[in-house]
Amino acid sequence: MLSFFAFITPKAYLNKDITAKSFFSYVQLFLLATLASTIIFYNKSPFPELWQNTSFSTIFKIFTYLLAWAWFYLSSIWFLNKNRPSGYFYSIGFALLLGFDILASASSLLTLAVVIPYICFFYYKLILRHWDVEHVKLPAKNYAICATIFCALLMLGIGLIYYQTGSFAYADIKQYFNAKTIPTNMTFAGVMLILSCILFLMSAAPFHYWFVSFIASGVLPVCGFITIIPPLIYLCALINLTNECFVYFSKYISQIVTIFGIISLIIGALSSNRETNLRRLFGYLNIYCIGFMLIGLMRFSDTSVIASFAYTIIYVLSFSGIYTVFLGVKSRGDYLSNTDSISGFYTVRPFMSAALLIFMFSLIGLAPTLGFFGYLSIINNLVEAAKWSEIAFILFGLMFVANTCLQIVRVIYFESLVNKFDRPDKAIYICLFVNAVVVFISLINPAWLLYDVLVILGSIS
Amino acid sequence: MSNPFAILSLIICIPFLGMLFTLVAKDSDETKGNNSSNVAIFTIIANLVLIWRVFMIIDEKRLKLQLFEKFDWLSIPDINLVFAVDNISLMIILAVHLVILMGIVFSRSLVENQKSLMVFTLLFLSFSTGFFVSADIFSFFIFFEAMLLPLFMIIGMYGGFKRPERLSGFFLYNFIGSMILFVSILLIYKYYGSLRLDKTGKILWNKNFGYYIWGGVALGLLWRIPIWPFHYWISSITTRIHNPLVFIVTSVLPLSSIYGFVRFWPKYIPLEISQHFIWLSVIGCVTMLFISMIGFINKDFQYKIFAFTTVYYIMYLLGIFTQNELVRNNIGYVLFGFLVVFGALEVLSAYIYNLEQDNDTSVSGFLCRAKRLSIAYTFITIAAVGFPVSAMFTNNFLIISELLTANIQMGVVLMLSSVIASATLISEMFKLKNDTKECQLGKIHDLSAGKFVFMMFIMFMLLMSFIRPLWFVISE
Repeated sequence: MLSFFAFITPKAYLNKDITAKSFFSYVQLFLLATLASTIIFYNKSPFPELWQNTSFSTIFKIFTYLLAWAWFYLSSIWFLNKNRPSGYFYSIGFALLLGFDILASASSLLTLAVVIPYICFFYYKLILRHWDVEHVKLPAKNYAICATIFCALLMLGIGLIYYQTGSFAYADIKQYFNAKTIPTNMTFAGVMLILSCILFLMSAAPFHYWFVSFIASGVLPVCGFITIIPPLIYLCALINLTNECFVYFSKYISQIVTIFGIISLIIGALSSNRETNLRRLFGYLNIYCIGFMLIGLMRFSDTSVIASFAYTIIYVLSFSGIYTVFLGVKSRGDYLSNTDSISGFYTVRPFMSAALLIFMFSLIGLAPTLGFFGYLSIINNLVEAAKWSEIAFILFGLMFVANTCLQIVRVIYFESLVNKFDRPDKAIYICLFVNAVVVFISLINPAWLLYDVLVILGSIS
Repeated sequence: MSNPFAILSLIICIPFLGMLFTLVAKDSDETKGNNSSNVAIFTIIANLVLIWRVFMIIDEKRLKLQLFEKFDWLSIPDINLVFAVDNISLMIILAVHLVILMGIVFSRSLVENQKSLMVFTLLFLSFSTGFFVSADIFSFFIFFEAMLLPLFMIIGMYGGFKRPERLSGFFLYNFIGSMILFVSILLIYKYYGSLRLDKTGKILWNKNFGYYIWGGVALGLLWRIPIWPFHYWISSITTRIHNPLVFIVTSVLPLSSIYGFVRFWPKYIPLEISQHFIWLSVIGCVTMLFISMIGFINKDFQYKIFAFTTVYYIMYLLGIFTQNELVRNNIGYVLFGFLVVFGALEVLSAYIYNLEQDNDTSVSGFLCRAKRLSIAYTFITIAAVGFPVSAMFTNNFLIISELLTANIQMGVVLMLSSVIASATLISEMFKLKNDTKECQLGKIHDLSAGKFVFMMFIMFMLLMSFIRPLWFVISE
């Protein structure tokens, strides 16, 4: 990954004539190499005291790389259509993938202290370079301020924990508190500060504002990238941190995570309901999904980890499908982003509409779409734990999300055509087809895809 | 008794495969979309042959679920899908196939772009078949909820709604009901595992949230039946639909709940619960009476048919609540007769009133000039009002006598409602037979030979079902 970064960045800056297709060809090669080395060295690490590769983190990484590969491919189509330079996007994308890779395997708070600001920095760079509106500086500045504050809180939190335990390593901290040493209030505060920083990265409400403005104005490849790629990694980092380091605090963390989950769920569901801008609408839906994922984590037990993982996979698959369809919704060269502008889309693009229909119903977990698995595993977990209030919140939020999704289906299918749509690229159909095949196989027999994954997740957590 | 090549899964898959074929069927202006409907018709006929084969395989005298098929589906949580059938479910599957076939045949000329209609209809047929062959709580729920997707699309695209916002309300309303059922099913799973539907007797009333489980199941199922206070959404949508196929598909929704009660409802209900059932019976009877009276005075033929179906659905629901094994076992036969009669009545009425609309004329006395239509319409009306020409006669007789025995006042109100519903249909028939000069329609508007032969076949089926319900089964 680092070698790609070193290889591509000068090219991106110096040679502007290289097309997106060529960049993607490089990306493919390096991603393949990264994927292969991730699988081969799944339990080996150059610096085990800082980051530790395990089969647990490897699963999350493999899924992330596959999704990144698909999204980089689709992004190349966007850059070609728009005739814009893409090197910078791929360069930052890879830099972020590197950060995600390390974050997923982190085994020391010191790693977190380095990698989280690193990720925030490259997010900021991504905003600056790939923003569609003119007033780029203000939102970027807002993000930079928020990110700086949260990074400072992270440092403070890590400092507080180090102050009591005298170590940064996950294993040492776990052992320290397992030895019946009672944590001080400062340590509690430290844990909560670190947690809040991760929740900020995840864009969980009420730390979600940067994310929605990011999605609303960013170019499609960037929006897709930050929606689809990071959730699995953040989930992995949160589980790792709780189960490998802060086991003693897991009861408190689960309470905090559940509260943030409920807030995100409700804010995401309610806000998406009144949106007419498709990007913002899906931005809020994304926050709703993050909330759902956090509620699913609840007890950090093997079943909750599996449930949350299954839900996250389904949600990123659905969102990757939705963003793929977005790439095909063009009129006179412009990508449409308003709900009214896609009226009657079904009459000219029946297959893409059908795909969007399935993804929409998948988001609300309607049987027999793949989304049903996610809802089944998470709500089943909540029923097992007799968490009735959480179930009530989920059902409440679900009704609003269902209304939002129906609104889009209604516009596409039941209203008359208002726009002339451009012919979409074949690659979009190919990606949708592959997505559909994966979804269909998972639906018919989820064990084919997930059995080994579930065994590994179950045994480790 | 053997189950060759997972035959139950096959009867779920065939409409699904048919849907895929319909999706790729080429339709141009020349074919007027008939290619898609031809594929759909062929698919349904092929599945009818398979269903007939299943009838031959099962032991018709055994009243239990048979031909079990089990699929390991999810490992965490541990969920298997189980399919099985008995006479009740097979009769209903057969009836649903027949009514949808009728709907397709009679709506071919009404819709320009038939492809999507056929695609979603076949998808609905696949899911509804899956629902009726489900033999465990999860497959039951999955197909119960799955029917909503194609239903929503069919109503939205072909229901002729000018304000589609109402449809979202309809979907959300049904979605809430299925969520209630979902949570109840997860509670069952928590305490009893992935239970088979014929083992629901294991769910104890007074232990492990038993009251909540049964309450949730009952509420989730009642949600789809147009009984007060759940009647609003179903009636507001159904009565505005003027395409016979869409109307038929929508009317299958309450059927899923009735069937759910047949499968799910326990044989034993504690006294402290059963004594409250009187309220449900009262609400049911009052709803029946009101809807039948509104149907009688309403001029819209669609509302009249809706009133007819609602009265009978509620009657069958009350029949199930009597806890009588004989009534429960007969429900498959009565639903078969009822569905076929209702479907035939709907397609014929829609045929007549679409002619009225297209030609901007009165249809009073039209039946005097259209012989084929007159024969079919009269026979179906006679069957609908309860004359001894279909399986509805004997089975309705049994249910009403059981309800009269259980509660004389309730039985009287119920009979009164069914008399009003019948009077509505008879008055409609007399209107169509009362020749006036205002009617501009003539012989050329009569049923085509093909449609008449098809209706003759339906009439033959009904008549034979009266003589011997399973007349088509040749014992091996």
